[in-house]
Amino acid sequence: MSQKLPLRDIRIVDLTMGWSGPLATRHMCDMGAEVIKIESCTHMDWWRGWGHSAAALADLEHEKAAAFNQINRNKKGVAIDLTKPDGRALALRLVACADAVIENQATGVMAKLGLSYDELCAVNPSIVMLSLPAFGAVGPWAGYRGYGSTVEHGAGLPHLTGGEDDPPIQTHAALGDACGGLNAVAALLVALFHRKRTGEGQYVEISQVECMLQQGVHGTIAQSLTGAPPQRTGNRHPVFVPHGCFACEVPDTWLVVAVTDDGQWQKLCTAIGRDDLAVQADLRTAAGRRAREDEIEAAIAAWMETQDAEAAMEALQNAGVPAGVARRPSDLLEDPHYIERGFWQDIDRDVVGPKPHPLTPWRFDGDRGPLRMPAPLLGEYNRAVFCGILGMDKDEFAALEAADVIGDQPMVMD
Amino acid sequence: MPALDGINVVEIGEGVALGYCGALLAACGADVIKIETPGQGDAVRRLPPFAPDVPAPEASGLHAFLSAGKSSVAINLDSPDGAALVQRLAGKADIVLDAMRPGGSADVGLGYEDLKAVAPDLIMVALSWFGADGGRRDWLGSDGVAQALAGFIYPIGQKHGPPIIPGGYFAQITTGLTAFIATMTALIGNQAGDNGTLIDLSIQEAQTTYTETAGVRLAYGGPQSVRKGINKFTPTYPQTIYPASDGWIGVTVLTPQQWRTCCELIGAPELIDDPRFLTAQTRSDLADELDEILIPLFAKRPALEWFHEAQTRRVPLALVPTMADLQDLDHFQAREVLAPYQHPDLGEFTAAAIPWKLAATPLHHGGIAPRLGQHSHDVLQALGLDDAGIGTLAAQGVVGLGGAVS
Repeated sequence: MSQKLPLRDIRIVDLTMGWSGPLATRHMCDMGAEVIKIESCTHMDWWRGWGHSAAALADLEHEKAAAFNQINRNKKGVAIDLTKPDGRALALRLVACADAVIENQATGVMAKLGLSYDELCAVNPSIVMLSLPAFGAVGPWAGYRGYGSTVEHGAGLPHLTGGEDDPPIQTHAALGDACGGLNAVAALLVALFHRKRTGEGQYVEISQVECMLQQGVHGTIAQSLTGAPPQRTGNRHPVFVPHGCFACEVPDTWLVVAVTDDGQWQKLCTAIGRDDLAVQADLRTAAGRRAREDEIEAAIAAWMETQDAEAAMEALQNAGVPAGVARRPSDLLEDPHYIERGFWQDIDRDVVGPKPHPLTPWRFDGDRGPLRMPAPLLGEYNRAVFCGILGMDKDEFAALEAADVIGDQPMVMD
Repeated sequence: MPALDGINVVEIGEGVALGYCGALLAACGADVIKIETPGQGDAVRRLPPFAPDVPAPEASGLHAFLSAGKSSVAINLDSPDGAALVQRLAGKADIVLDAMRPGGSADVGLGYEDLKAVAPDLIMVALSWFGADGGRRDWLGSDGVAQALAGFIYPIGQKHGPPIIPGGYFAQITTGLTAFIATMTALIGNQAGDNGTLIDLSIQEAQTTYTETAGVRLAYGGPQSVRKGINKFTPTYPQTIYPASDGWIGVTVLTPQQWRTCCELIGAPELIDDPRFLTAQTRSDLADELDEILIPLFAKRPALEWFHEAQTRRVPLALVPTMADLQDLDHFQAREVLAPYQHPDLGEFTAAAIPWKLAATPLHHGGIAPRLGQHSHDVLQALGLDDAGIGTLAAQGVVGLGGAVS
């Protein structure tokens, strides 16, 4: 990728908090967009933590949150009290020179602040505005709120994981936020492409629950095509046999094995020292193996319990069998493949020092989106944005500071 | 005008991630030509859900969802004549999505350098399980394998294991979406004067979006990831699913205000000031004790009642709808979350609609999916081949014409 990043011409006013919206704008700024992130001294991004005491704030706890710091790098952070008329007016001056506004406040908050789509259009007729409510901005449940887990539950996804006798099973990533953020940036880019082509802005609404439904799209298809949800098969797969997660020698180490075609079955048998199974005619097809799945799993388990997980993964992959250890998420920094492919990079930040960041999952002509600056301290870019971009003079800046319209010192949050 | 009107896309290779990226482009109005292997077709044609009583390779509802709005052209890429045809199609394309094994497209003359020679501003997206380089480049994958290595499954399941692999196509759907984001980014770069790019995206790394913060937290002195039990989320609680009197209720309570209101809601005000449960973190440490108290309380009333009352009081609980509920509940109906899909052999069915509501450039929701090779003849004819030439290629096995719909 050249030094000129693809989104270099785009400016975003970012009114999102938490994980979902900030992930969307992280992808934008990583690829060159100028993202102006608005918080306020009374309502900081709650991803900095919630319920901080005055003592904790004095100790800068709000600047020490790993999740906030990694998701807000490359952004310019300002702090504006949007509940004050002068704060609203200031936000609208930013909107006037932006391409898009993105927000994930609870439904109704933007209207209450006087920052509805119509009000944004009054100062910038071609603005793109994207809202990312949990259940949607219209419909009987509009205004209902949720975190990542709420929207995962609300999409019914837990019914699609586990076995027949299990309760609905959630994942443990609260991934509804991140999934919503990915959908938001995708749709935002579509609207920005159209705006560049035609000059036309628009309002974009995305329900995070509906984003999660894409992850369970097979469930909705099965219900419609067959009148029943997909069979819950636990770690077994509806097509691939064998398919499971097996215990290795060291306690709590596990290897996922997936035989995705009949050729791999033969290779698996050889790798685990069971050529006697490889030659059995009835096991040459997945349907045949399904009939003896318990026995096959027992054979794999017997081999696996004597193996080191990493070594077994290497052995199976080298033999041509898909296999992957169930990596602890906290161990991802040490995985050699991420390191070799340059997935992680440190950047220094005030208060916390050098800390690792996951870079963009994609590479353009070999390069991931560059880390240009760490996440902003609260209000760190007030002067750069208001004086630099808006051309505010120092008297007005001082007056807004004195009136607590802008600032950089947090006040105790709920 | 659809947002991507006039944008031409060619898909080569196979799989859910490829298909989903192309499906998103098609839904935005791009013209997507899917190249499939004659006779066999994309591997997703062999993935469920299947329609009863429809023979292969047309029985997969998943395929119909992923291929809606696309053209299917059956061409054998192992044949030099076949690869040359695809090169001609790529020469007219803005975007080529490539999910052949790493290096596979270059081996048949369809690598980025080959195609850039005929399409100078081409955006080419190379999708793979483990990326275009690195020691694991040639490893094989599956959705479960990619989820495992991305740290996604370890925390799910009983304390003593095994980790549970979520059903469906999590990693590949996520990768298709991520590939779309990268593609749109490059398209906007082209609007700003760039000349295309080669995008490398691995399914493992795309799936890491959901787990990456755990590694970062460790570097801040945070905890090692743990697996405490089914639906026993850490490090905040409750963030779980409880049985209601008639179904399941998702219970997420984070802030002090939410905890106070939740305790009132379930008729247990004495818990508000119980020192064991004051914060989300302490509740997580004592999740088993808390469950013993809360499970009998939540079992008293129907899930929908809990849901509406909690939400009215700003506590983020959720009904956990079944797939049938998704068809029946008024909210989902009002928002048309299920879209109509069609396929010549499957007939009509519904699937979760691509969820972006763009006011000025609405997506195509739903659509018609092709049989394998249904558009081979028309697309080759548009390339300038006559019927005799197409017939010869079919006789040689270079192209497949079997899916024609009369």
